[in-house]
Formats: sequence, C-alpha cells, structure tokens
Amino acid sequence: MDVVVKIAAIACLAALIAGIIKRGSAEMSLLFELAAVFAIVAIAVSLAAPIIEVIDKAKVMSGISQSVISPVIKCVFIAIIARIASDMCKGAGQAAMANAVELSGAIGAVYVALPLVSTLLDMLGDLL
Amino acid sequence: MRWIRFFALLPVLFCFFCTGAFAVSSLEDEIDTKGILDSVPSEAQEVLQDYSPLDTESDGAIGRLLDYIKGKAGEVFAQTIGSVVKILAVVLVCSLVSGMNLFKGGFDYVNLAGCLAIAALAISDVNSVIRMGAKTLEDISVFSKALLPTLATAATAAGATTSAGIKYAATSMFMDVLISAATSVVFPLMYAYTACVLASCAIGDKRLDAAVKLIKKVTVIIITALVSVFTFYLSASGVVAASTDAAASKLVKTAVSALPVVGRTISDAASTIVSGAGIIRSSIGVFGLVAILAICALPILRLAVKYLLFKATASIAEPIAGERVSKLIDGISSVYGMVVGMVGVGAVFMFFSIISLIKVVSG
Amino acid sequence: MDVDLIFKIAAVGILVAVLNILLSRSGRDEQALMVTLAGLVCVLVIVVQEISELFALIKNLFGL
Repeated sequence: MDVVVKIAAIACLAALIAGIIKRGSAEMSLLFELAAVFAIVAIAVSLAAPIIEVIDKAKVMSGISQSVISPVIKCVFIAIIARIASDMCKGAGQAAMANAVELSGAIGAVYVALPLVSTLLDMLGDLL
Repeated sequence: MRWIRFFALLPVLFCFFCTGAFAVSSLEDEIDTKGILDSVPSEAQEVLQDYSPLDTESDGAIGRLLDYIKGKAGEVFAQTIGSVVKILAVVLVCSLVSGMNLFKGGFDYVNLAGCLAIAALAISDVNSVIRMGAKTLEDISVFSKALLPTLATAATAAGATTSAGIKYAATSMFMDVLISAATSVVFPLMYAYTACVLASCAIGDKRLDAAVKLIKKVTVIIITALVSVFTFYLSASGVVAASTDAAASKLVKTAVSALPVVGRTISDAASTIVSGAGIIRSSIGVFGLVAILAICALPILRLAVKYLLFKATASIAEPIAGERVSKLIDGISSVYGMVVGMVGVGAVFMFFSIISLIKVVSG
Repeated sequence: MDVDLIFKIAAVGILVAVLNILLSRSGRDEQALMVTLAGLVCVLVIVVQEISELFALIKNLFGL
C-alpha cells in the first residue's frame, strides 16, 4: 500500500513541476513527463517481483506450457507500452504519430501471438 | 444443479420399474446370454460381471455400479480441475489489462491472445469429449443389436409373431438413424460450433455471434426432431396403453428435463411414453436397463463434471477478464452439454425400445 | 530508477525553462533555443539509459 501512496505523491508532484516547466519550454516538460512515467513504472515493477514468484509457482503447478502463456503476457505489455507512448504523442499534439504507435502496437501483438496460432493449427491438423 | 438431480434420479427411476414380480418365462433356451454380455464394452462388463439376463436379483450389479461411479468420480474431477486451473491462469493474465480500457476504438489484441491461448488449451479436451460421445453411442448401438433380437425372438416365442418383428425392426432402425445422425451431422456441427465460438470471441464480430447461436439452435432442433419422431412412432404403434401412471411419468419428466440443452424439450415426450409403458416385469428388461446404465455411467459422469466445472469457470472469468473470454469458456461448456444431450437421448431411445419389446413379451 | 533522478531532471527542466524565459524576453531567441537543445540532450541521455535498464529488468523478471 505504501508503494501506491508513494507513486501517487510522485505523480502529483511531477504533474505540477511539468506544468511549471511548460511555461518556459514545452519540450522539456514533455521529456520530464516521460522520465516521470518510467520512474513510476519502475517502482511498480519492483513491487511485482513477489507477484511473479507466485505466478511462476502457479504455472508449474498447473502445468501450463510456457509457449501458451508467454504470448499472452507479451501482448499485455505491448498494450501498456503502446498506450503510454501514444498518449505522450497526443500530449505533444501529434495525433498522427499517436495513431501510428497504436497501429504498430496492434501489429506487434498479432506478431507475438503467431506462435499460438501455429500451435492451434497444428492441433487442428492432428484432429483432421 | 440439474445434473445431480438427473444422476440421482436415474437409479431411483430404475428401482421404481423393478417392483413387482420378476416372471421368468420359458424364454431361457431362446436367450444367447453370453452373446449379449460380450456385446457390452469392457468397463461395463467389469460392473456387470456375471449378472445374466435371466437373474432375478439385480441388486449385486446395481451395487457394483454405484461403487464404480463413486470410485471414478474423484479421478474425473481431478483431471478436469487440471485443465480448469490452466484456463484460469490465462484468464488472470488477461484481467490485468481488461480493466484499463486501453482499446477504446481499436482492436483488442490482448483478448485475441487470451482466446487463442484458451483454445489451444481446451481443443484437445473438446475433441476427446466428442470422440467419447460418439463411442458411447456406438456402444449403446452394439448392445442394442445384441439384446433386441433376443427380445424379439422371445416375443415371437410368446406368440406375438408379426408385431414383435415389426417393433424390433423399427426400433433398431431408429437407433441406426440416431447413430448416423449423430456421427454425420451433430458431431461435425459441434466442431463447427467450437470454431465459430472461438472466432467470434477472439475477434468480437457480431455476425459471428449470430452464426454461433444459429448452430446451437440447429443442433437442438435436430435432437428434438429425432426424439419427437421416435415418440410419435411408439405412441402410434400402440405400445402406449391408455393407463396413466402419474408417479412414474413425473419421475421421468424430472429426470429427463435435467439433461442440459435438450432436456426441457424432450421431457414432455418422455413422460407421455412412460405413462403408458407400465412396469417392466421381465428380468431381461431389468438386465437391459442395468447394462445401459453401466455403459453410460462413466461417460456421462465425465461429461457432467466437465460441463459443470467449465460453466463455473466462465462465471468466475466474467467479472475479471471481460465478456468475450468468459463467452468462449461458456461456449466450450455448451459443447459438452450438447454431447451429453446426444448420449442421453441414445440411452433414452434404448430404454424405450426395451420397454416396447417387453410389453409385447409380457402381454 | 530512483526518485532522486526525477528531482534532478526536474531541476534541469526548471533551469532550462527559466533561462528560456529570460533569454527570449531579452530578445536572444537563438540562445534560448540552444539552451533548450542542450537541456534536452542532457536529460535525454540520462532518461534513455534508465529506460533501457528498466526494459531489461522487465524482460528478466517475466522471462519473456
């Protein structure tokens, strides 16, 4: 819980400072915003380490194969990162760039999901 | 928990029909006992052991059947829980982003990946379930081909020559029609249903949703049509007398309506037949019923457990991972339900065929 | 990525912002632009390093 409070405090502070910097230099404000976003993500990820241990334990117990679950996890990360980047572009007023980032996120996700599709096709091939 | 009802009522139903004297007629010489026992698949033979069609005491076999079911139940449950846990792992990962509303206008690829993963996990299960359903129906058919001629011969010996022959021919024709309908139409439809459900949930297209509903409806209509025609034949051929046996018909109605998907529609038909069928007096009939229970018990148990657990998983998944993932899991459980419906219908057909022939034998 | 780093970058950002305002007020726009660019490059170097470390950490943690 402390981590969430910490993150909330950092985020609010960073937002204020970004507002101040914007008055003098909009580009610096954007860069500062980027740095703040990734700092928050880093803190959140460090919290996730014990969660990962539990998930790994569950993976081993249930016997789910890595090749089935890892595309799904990768898609989750692609979604989060693409969304952050696209929002940043929108914040800078570059709507076209934002859309391009989202599109490449979608394509990347489908690319990552391809092993799943080929596993499925293999199984269907065995059935038929 | 309709399933528990169905399963609990089946033995009770069976006992109801066994009250009254078991009249052993002079049919002994006509019956090829060994041939009939051999036609039953090996797991069922384990249960029946040396219970022959002429035994008047059926309690031993019933007791063995119940023990067998109890013994296997834990194993079946454990197997299904394994697949359910894997699916829940995927559901958990998908739930990480489902609350975030990341894909307002665009393509939800996390949902796509999740649905593909669940399909990869479940598809071999679905395939083995459909194969198991087909094999069970085939076992019932093989058994009926062994038992019914015997009953028809016995009926002929008891003096009802033409009608016995006709009834046997008609009921075995219906069993054949059912089996071929199942293997060439219904089970391929199930594969199509699975594919459609996967596509519709992965991509989220409304038209695919409509296709899914259509296939399910068609399957239910086919099964209902088969049962209605069979029922009509049995009433028209005079097997059903005017006497009404309210308790038995109510029991049958409740038991049959517990079958998923098709239960409600055929329960009325079922009770109509039973209300006129009366009580089975012959030991052969009792044997036939015990044998059907033995053949169907394990497959139906497996299917029931799978159906229930997958439905439970779907309802767990809905609040945490979003609508489409839970729809996919629900679709898989519907496939299991439809297979159960088919197998249940096969057992019910066999049951009524036996009744109609017994009616001829005992007058 | 420490919280201290954020504050360092904030400090650089505020410095650049203030200098920017001062220089453009006194009419030296090109110098304002150069200060902005210098600040950008400085912060970018630090930030990119941190981001790549973060991605390596995520990859290791999740085994992707």
